[in-house]
Amino acid sequence: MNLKIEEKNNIVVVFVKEERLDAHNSGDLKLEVNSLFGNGKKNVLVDLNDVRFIDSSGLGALVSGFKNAISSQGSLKLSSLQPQVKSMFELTRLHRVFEIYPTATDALENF
Amino acid sequence: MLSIQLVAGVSLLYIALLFMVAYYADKKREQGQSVISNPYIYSLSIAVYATSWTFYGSVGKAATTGLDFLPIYLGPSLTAFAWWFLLRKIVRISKENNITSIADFISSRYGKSQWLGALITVIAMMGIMPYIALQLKAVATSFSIITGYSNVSQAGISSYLARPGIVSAVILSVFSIIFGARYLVSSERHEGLTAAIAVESIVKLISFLCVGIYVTYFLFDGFTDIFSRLQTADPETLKRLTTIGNDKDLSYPHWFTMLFLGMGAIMLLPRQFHVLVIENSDENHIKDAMWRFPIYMFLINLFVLPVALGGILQTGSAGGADFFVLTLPMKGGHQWLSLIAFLGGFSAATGMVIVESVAISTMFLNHLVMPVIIKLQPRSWFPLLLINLKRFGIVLVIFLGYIYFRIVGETYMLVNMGLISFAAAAQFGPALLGGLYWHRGNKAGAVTGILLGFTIWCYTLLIPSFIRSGWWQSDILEKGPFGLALLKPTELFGLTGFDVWSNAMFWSMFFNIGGYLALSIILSQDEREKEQVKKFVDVFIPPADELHWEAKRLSKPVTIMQFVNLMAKFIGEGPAHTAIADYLGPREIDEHGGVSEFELPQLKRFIEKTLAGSLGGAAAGAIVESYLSDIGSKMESVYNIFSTVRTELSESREALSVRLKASLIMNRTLDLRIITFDLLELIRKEFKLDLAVIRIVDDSGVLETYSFSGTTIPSITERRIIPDINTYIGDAFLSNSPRFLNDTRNNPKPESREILELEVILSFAHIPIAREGESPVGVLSVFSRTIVGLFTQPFIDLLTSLAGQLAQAIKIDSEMKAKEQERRQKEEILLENVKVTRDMEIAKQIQLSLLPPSPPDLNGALIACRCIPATHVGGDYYDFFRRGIDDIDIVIADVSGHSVGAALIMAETRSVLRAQFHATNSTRDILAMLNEELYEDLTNAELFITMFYVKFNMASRLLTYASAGHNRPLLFRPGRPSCTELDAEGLILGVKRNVLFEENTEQLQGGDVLLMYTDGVTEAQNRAGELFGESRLCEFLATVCTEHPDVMIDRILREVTAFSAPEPLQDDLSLVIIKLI
Repeated sequence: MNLKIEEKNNIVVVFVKEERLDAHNSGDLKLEVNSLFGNGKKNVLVDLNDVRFIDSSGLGALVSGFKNAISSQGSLKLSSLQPQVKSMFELTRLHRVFEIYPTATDALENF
Repeated sequence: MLSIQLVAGVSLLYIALLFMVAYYADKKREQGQSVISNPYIYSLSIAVYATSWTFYGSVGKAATTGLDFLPIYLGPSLTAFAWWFLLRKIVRISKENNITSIADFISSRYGKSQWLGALITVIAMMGIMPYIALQLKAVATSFSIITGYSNVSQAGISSYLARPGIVSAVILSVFSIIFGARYLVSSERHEGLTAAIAVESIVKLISFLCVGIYVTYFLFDGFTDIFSRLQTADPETLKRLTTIGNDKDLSYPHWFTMLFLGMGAIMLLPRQFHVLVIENSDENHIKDAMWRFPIYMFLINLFVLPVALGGILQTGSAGGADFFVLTLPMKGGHQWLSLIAFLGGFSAATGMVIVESVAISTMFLNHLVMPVIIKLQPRSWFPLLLINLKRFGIVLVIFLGYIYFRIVGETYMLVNMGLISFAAAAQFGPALLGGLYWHRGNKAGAVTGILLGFTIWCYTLLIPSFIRSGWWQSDILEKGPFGLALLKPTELFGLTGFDVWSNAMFWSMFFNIGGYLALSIILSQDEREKEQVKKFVDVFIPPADELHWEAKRLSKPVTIMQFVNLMAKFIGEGPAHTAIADYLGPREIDEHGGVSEFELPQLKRFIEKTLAGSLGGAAAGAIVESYLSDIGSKMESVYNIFSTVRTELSESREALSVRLKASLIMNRTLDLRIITFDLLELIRKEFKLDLAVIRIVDDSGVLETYSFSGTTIPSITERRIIPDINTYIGDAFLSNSPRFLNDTRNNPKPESREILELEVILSFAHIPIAREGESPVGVLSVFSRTIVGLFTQPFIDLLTSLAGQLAQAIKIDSEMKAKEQERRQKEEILLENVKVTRDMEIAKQIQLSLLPPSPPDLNGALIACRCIPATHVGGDYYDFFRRGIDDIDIVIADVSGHSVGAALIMAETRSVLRAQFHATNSTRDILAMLNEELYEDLTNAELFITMFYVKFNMASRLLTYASAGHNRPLLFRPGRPSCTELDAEGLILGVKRNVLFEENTEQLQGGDVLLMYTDGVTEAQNRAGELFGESRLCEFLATVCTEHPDVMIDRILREVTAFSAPEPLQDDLSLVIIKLI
C-alpha cells in the first residue's frame, strides 16, 4: 500500500496515496496506524485526499485505529474526505466519532 | 712484402672488429633482442666448415691432385638436403634435453653413460689435433709469406716458424675464451660468438672471391683463358687434374671415401655439431640453411680450380700451391689484395679454432673433468673452478693442436691433416645415426663401435702421420708390426690397392658399425637407456597419454631447498634460484617446502636437465643420483596397482574395469546405503585395501561415517570428525583435493601420527567426495596396513573420479529426499487449504442456515428476502421476529469484513437479538442494547456492524425504525417520482459504548414498497469503476414496483450482476422487500 508518512510538530500525518481503501489494502493501513500508536506516537492524522472510494473494510481499519488511539490516550484525526468517503462517514455516523478536517493543514492547526 | 707491424696491426684491428660485433650481439641479447636469430646468420655460421683448409688447402689440393678437392664440399651439400629430417630431430632432442655437445648427445642417448661421454671427448680431442694444427700452420705460414719470410718457412727453420705459430695459438686461445667461456652454461647459445663467426664467414668468402676474380679476370682472361693456356702449356697436367678415376689418388673408391668423410664431417665435427645444433635458435632456420649453405659451398669453390691452374701457369709448378691465394696477388704486386686474402685465411682459421675449442672444452669439462669433480664434496667455489677449467680446456685443445703442428706440420699438406680429423669425427657416425633411428642401439654397442673405430683410426691414420713426419722412427709402414705385412697400417688385413683414406675408413667403419650392431643385438638395454631411447628416437611422437604415469617415487622426499642448494654448488646461487623459480611457477608447494610426491620425480628430472645445461647430461645424472643416495633416498618403483598392461587409452585395463563395475553399482539402485557399501567393497577388494570408509558431512558440519567396508577399526570408523586443516582428512575436505601418504613412516602430520601408529596404517588416502566445481559433501578414505607406495597418480585419479560419481549419487539421493519433503509439505498445505475451504464452506452454510429460509406470511403485505453470498464468508444478516399477531420486527445488518470472524459475530448478533428482542418494544433500545452487548467482542475482533431495525404493525401499517449507520432503505410510493430514504441518527455498532439511537416512524399505505439492502448492492462496480449506487437502485425499483417482491428481487439481482459483469460480485448481497397490498 502506498502511504506517505510525515511527522510535523509531534503529529504523524499518514497520507493514503491510494484511490481505493478497501479489503485489499485496508489491512496495511490498519497495521501502519496501529504500529504508530504501538511506538508511542500520540497524534496521528490520516489524510484521505487521494481516496475516492472506501468500503466497510476501510472504515474498519480507521475504526480500529481510532480505538487504538483511545486506549493509548492519543488521538486519530482525519482530513480531506472526498465525496464518496464523506458520505460513507455520514451514513455510518462515523463523522460524529472522528474529528474530520477539510485539509491536512487545518487538521494540524487543531491538534 | 708487407711489414710485420702492418700485418699484425691489421690482424689485431680485425680481431677488435670481431670482438665489437660479438659484444654488440651480446648486448642486444641482454636487451632481449637477438641479432643472430635468423636463417642468414645461421647459414653463415654453419660455413665455419670452410676453414683455412678450404681457403688455402683446396687450391693446394686442386693444384696437386685435381678434382678431389671437391668431394669434401659435395658431401656436406648432400647431407644438407637431409637436414630437415636429420638435423631437425637432433636439434629437437638437444633442446629438450639441454644437450651441450656431440659427446653429451651420444652419451645421453645411451643411458647418460659417463664412459661413453669421456671416450667421445678423448677421441674428439685427439682427432681434432691435426685440424687445429692445420689452422695454426695456415696462420703461421701465411703470416710468414705475407711478411716476406716465405723462404724461411720453406727452409723449415723452426725458430721463425714457431713464433707466429705460438703467437697465433695464444691469440686464438684468448679470443676463444672471451667468446666462448665467459659463462658456464653451454646449452645456451653464444650470440656474440655466432655473430663473429658469421662475419668471418662473409669476410673469407668475399676475400676468396676477390682473389679468384683477380686471378681469373686480371691475371688471365677468364676461365676459358686459364684452361686453354694450361692445355697448350701442359696438357698432361690438365688432363690429370680434371679427370677422376685414373690413378690411386683420384680413384672412384677415393672419391667415395672423400664424399663420405665430407658428409659425416659437416654433422659430426664437434664445432659443426655446435653451430648446427647448440647455436640453433629456431628449427625453421634449418630449412633455409639447407639451400643457403650449399650455395656458400659452391661460391667459395667457384674459383678454386682457376686459382690453382693459374698458380701452376704463373709459377710453373704446383709447389707451394697451398698458398697460391696469397702468393699470386703478391707476385702481381697487389699487396693490399694479398692482405685481404690473408685476412680471409685468418678468418677461416680463427673461426674454426674458436668454435672447435669452445665445443671441445665444453666436452672436456663435462665428460672428463666433471666425473672427477662430482666425486668431491661440493664447495661454494665450484662454479668458479668449473668456468676456469673450461677455459683451461680451450687452451689445452689449442695447444694440443700446436704440438701436433710442431711434430707433423711440415710433412703434410693442409688438406691431408684435415682429413685425419674428419676420419676421427666419422667414428661418431654409427652411434649417432643408430641412436637417432634404431631403438635397439645400446650403450655396449656404441662404446665398442666407437672404441674399435677409434683404434683403427689411430693405427691407420694417426700413427702413420707421426711416422711420416719422422718424429717416430719405425718401419711398420713398410713391413708391418713385427714384420706382419698383414697388419701394415696403410694396407690393413691385406687390403691393398686403396689409398690410405679408403683403407682407414673401410676398416674403421667395418669394426665400428660391426661392433655397434653386434653388441646392440646381443645385449639388452638397461632401464635408464630405455628411458633415453624414447626421448631420442621417439622425440617427434607426442606422448600417447597426457597424464604422465609416474611409476617411480623417491623413497625419502627431498625439499626444494635441498635441490636448490645442490644446483647452486655447481651453477651458482643466482642461476639456481632463477631456474627453480621458472620451474615452480604455479605449482603448489606443501608446508614442508616440498612438492607433491608425484611432482618429485619431475622435479628431479628438471634439476638434472638444468645441471645438464652446464655440466652435460651424464654428469648431471650422476650428481643428482649421488646426492640422493647421500641423503638416503632413492628412486624406487611404486607398487604398480595397474600391473604393467597399458592400453592405448589413457587408462589401464584394470582402471577401466573398476570404473565399469562402479558405474554398474551406481546405476543398479537409488538406495545410497547399498551404493556406498558396494562401492567400498569393490574398491577395497580390487586394490587389496584393508579399510575403505565413506563419510558424509551432516548439517552441523561433522564428517560422520556413512558406510565402511573391511577390517573394523573403531578408532577410525566410529570417530566423528570435525574438519580441521591439521588432519589429512580435514585438509582433504576443506581444500577439496586428495590427500594421501604413501608411507606413514615418513613425517606424518603430528595430529595423525598417533592413530596411524596405533592402528598400523602404512598408507592411506582421503578423497573429497565432490561434484565438479562444487564443494565436497563427504570424504572417501582408504587405508592399507600392508602396502607402501600404493597411491600413484593414476590410482588417485581413479579414486577421485569414483568419488565424483559418488557425489552425483549422493546429490541425487538428497535431491530425492528434498523433493519428497517438498511434496509432503505441499500436500499438507493443500490439505490445510481444503480444510479451510471446507470450514469456510461450512461457515457459509451455517451463515445461510442462520438466515430465515423463507419470509413469514404477513396480513396485507407481501414479503421476500434473499442473500447472495460472495466467494468469501460474509457477514450479511437479516431476520424477522414476530411480536404477537400484528407486529413483526425486521432486521437487516452487515458485519464488516469477510471472515469466519464476521460470520461468528453475525451468529452472535442473531442469538443476542433472538434472546433479547422481547425485552423492549423500542427499536432504538434494541440497537443500544445490542451495541452494549456486542461492543467488547466487536472491539476484540476489530469489526463493526451496520444495522437497520424495523418494527411494523400490520393493523396500523405504522413503521417504526432505528439505524446503526446502515444503508438507508428505500421507500417507493406509487405516484411519487422518486424514493424516500429512511434514515435515523445512529452510529454503527461496536465503535463506542453508550450510543444514542434515534427512532423514527413512517405511515405506510397500500402499494408502498420498502426495500432494505446491504452495501453489496450499491457498491457493486462496473468496469469503469462506477458504483451501482442508491439512485440507480431507486430508479430500477420504480420500474419493477408492480411485480411480486420475489420477482423484484430476482430482477434487481440480475440488474446488479449485469452491471458488474464480467467481474463476479465482490460482496454479499442481501435484500428484503415488503410490499403492502
